[in-house]
Amino acid sequence: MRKLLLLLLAAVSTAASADPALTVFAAASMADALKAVNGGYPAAFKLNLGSSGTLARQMEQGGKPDVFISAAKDWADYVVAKDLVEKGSVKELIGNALVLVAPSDSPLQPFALDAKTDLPSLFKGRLSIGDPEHVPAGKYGVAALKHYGWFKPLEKRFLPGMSVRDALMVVELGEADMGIVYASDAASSKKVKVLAQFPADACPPIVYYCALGKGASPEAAKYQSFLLGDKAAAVFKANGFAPLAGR
Amino acid sequence: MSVMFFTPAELEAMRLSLLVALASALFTLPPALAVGLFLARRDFFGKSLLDGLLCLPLVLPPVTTGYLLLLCLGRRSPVGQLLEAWFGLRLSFTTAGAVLAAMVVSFPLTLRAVKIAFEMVDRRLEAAAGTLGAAPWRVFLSVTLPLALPGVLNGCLLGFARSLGEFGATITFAGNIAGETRTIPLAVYSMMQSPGREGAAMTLAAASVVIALVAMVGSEMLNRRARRKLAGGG
Repeated sequence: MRKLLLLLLAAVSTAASADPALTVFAAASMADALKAVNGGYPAAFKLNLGSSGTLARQMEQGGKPDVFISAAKDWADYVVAKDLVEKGSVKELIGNALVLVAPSDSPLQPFALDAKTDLPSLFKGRLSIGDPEHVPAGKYGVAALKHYGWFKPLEKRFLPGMSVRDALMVVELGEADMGIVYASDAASSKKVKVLAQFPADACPPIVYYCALGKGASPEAAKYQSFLLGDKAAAVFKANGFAPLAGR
Repeated sequence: MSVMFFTPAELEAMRLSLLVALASALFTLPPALAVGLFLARRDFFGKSLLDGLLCLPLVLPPVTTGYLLLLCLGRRSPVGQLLEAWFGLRLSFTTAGAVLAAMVVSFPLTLRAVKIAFEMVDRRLEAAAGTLGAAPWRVFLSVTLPLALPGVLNGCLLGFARSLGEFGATITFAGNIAGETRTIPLAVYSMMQSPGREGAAMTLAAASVVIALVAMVGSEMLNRRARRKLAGGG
């Protein structure tokens, strides 16, 4: 019994102590792309995926990533303001676009989206969207809906997800007839189809930021420059992300 | 006046929490009584397997339970389609779904308490009532149930408490929809995610402490009354 206890204690304490793997806190929408990108980098990784807001909160409560990737400027600013990342390490990483998706067997067909579209009457039931309270994709989505004047009629029909990937899953399962996710999320799923893409001017620019966690190792800095390099950018692009303007 | 202290969103979350937990505790009781009595009185092949199956939601991570519910009762599942076609009823991402998620997760707790309560009832008293000419349902209502009542109440309280705190199965199966499924735990979670909402999260946390205390004290009072009645009337 005592041996067992000691063994358990050892197992738990080594898990908490320093180890060579790079810890990356990344926005949920990065899940597949980041795994693909990391496959080309010689290091072990520990990924913690969630909505950018959730991750920023975790860092505030003592979570210590080597690299933090946020899907929105406000959460990147938030961790800077709270002094949770290395000063001056916040860099623009990659871009993305917002799309409307439906289950792949939905009768809805792709359409041209413009000011004349009557989105609220195009579908019944709920609109799956990342919780606009804290999920960047939800905030961008609300901005885009407001841009076209669809926010008021659709607000009551929101089905808010804990992260953009939750919003995607709800559409995959057919629980919502339509959802707003990133182009990269739609590209990652075979169970949804893209109905329309929001034009870039419908919402604030969607930019991912990466930053070095407070006290991150030199290895983390090396990894960050790899993320910002051309090789990683190509993989991100292949996964449905949009290159940043001016690069 | 105390109502003014809360925002409409907080009041909504409290109302939903109470509604979901009360409905869950109430609707869980009849099946728990039936199954509890059955398990307490009958021995059959595969009894421990059935017992284990019924208690599965106690051990399964609630998010898993929610996901299984979504697969079994969601809009695309055969059962979900039948419910929608026949009764126009949707469970996933509705208040009814939140109640169901709470029921599934709290059922094992209520069941265990009820089962033990029935096992403790002195069967000679039931036999005596029988020899005095009482029909089986009469024996159950006037002897078995009153004797088991403290345990049954305890089971109800456990179920209520578990339902009040339910998070994982609810957010997976019923979502986090303000005014429909955003109960106190989900509201607190949402508020914790947004900067500057810590105050609101604290308010709701305090509210759940009060609700929990009232429920505990209330059930203890009921419990005492049941015991007094047993001691006095027996």
